[in-house]
Amino acid sequence: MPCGSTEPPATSEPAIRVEDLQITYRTTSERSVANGHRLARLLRSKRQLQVVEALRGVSFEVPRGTVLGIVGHNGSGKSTLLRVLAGVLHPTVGSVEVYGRVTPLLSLGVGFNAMLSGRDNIILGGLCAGMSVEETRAKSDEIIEFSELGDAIDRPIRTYSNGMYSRLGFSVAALLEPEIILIDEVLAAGDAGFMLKCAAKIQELAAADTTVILVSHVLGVLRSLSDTVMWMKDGKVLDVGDPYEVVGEFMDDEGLDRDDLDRLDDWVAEWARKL
Amino acid sequence: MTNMPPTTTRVPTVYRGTASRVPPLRPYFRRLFGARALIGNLARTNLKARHYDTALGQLWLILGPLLLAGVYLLLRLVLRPAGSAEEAKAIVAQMVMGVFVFQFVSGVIVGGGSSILNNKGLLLNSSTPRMVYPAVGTAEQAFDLGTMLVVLFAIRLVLQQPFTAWLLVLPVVLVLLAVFSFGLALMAATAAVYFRDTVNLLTYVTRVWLFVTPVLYTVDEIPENMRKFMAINPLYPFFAVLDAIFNGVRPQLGYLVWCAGWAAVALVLGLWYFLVKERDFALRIY
Repeated sequence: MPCGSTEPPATSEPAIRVEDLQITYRTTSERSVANGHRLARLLRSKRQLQVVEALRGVSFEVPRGTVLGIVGHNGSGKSTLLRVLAGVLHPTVGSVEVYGRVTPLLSLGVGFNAMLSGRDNIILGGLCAGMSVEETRAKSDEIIEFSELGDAIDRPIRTYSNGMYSRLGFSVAALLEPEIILIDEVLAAGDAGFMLKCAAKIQELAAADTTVILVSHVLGVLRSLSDTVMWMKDGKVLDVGDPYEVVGEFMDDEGLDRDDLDRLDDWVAEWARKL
Repeated sequence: MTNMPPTTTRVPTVYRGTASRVPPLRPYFRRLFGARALIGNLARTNLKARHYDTALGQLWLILGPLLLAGVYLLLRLVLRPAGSAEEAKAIVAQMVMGVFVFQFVSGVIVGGGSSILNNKGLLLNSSTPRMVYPAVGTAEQAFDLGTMLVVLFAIRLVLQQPFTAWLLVLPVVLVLLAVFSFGLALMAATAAVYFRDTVNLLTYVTRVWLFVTPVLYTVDEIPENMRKFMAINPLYPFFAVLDAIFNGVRPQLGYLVWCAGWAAVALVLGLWYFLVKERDFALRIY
């Protein structure tokens, strides 16, 4: 596995600047109503309002052409943060500045229309990213080739497996020439060969001045791809810095053994050489 | 890969925590206009997917409204049989027109009501202006109406109904009606995000609205003492004008002014409600 983290960032111009970002929303949670008359229970709402503070004061800056990896436990606010960067969720408090075109979060796998073929969904993805039909069509052969989906590209995507789904998602996002690409846990769903191919593509994009925000639980890949790693917990940023250091801190916090990851890394590297 | 961003990208897209306020209108509508290819594409693919699994496929586009008109026609002729063959023909032509046009109005409103909730996947994954989704529904319904108008004119031809120059007013009325319906669709879409019950209620509201609008009966058949109530039904002037121009009679200018007024009110209120709440949608359906 080539190590991309030693390269200095291409420019120090910011691609993303986030200041004191807070996202708070209300949701309902089920509550069991045990006492009272049956009729009263029926009328009384079983649902209770709950305030969720998904992000509580997040600030950071990402220079253009760098890869920022984000680690954190499930529910730490990683996906919420990506959605804010994509312009989907609007800050409750704080501000977010995004310099350049961001890909839609197709890699999350729900932006597609299941009834349509893979080919039609590529066009849809391009349009969502603000490109024209012609521009997207010109790119689609390249996207189809990268995804290695072959004839399946003309089948409705409701027939796709999870792996095929993320192949398509990553290919669309990565090949539409984004200026900023947000990748949420797409690396884990594909097979090992495709994962390495994605990793190589991410490095290629970063070298071409694309800014990459990468969320993954595949810590080995994440730390070797990232220039910087950010550790999130309970909607807050606990640390930002050197990938090996921050991933290490995160693993310590999770009660994981750092050495295991190093051994796994060696194994992946060996495997990559064989492919 | 050459990927040097153009200089314009140095102007950032800024998202800021703001209170409920109307966003800057000019950039918003520029973005909405930029999304017109997306609107067209979504409308086309939705139309394609709608009757994908049925044996008759796209034929349902015509068959559905025709059967609906047939059902209402049967009801009407059972309740009050036509006096002569000529009268029966006129009733058929008038009712088919009314049902097709009303179908458009209710389709836009009901479709608008579920447009945000039904497009959750797309909405949670791209920053496209949210008005795209009710607009897609309206575009689909407009396409359906266009098809049905061709069918309507064919029916009128067969039934030897009048074709006069007053039909030239038809596009004006239909555009005003589309604007009016789109305004209501925006309100319905926004309301449905906060009260999911809206979607269920709308089906019944539009049904009642159908019965109090001169669709299944003509304007002349409304009893004198009921006419004053018609003034509060926004759809009344629209159908009064339609009734006139299809019968080759000069429509009352006053009714056309009412149509324009209702369209403007619905659009302004719809835009305001939608734009103020739009940025909150994703969080609400998250």
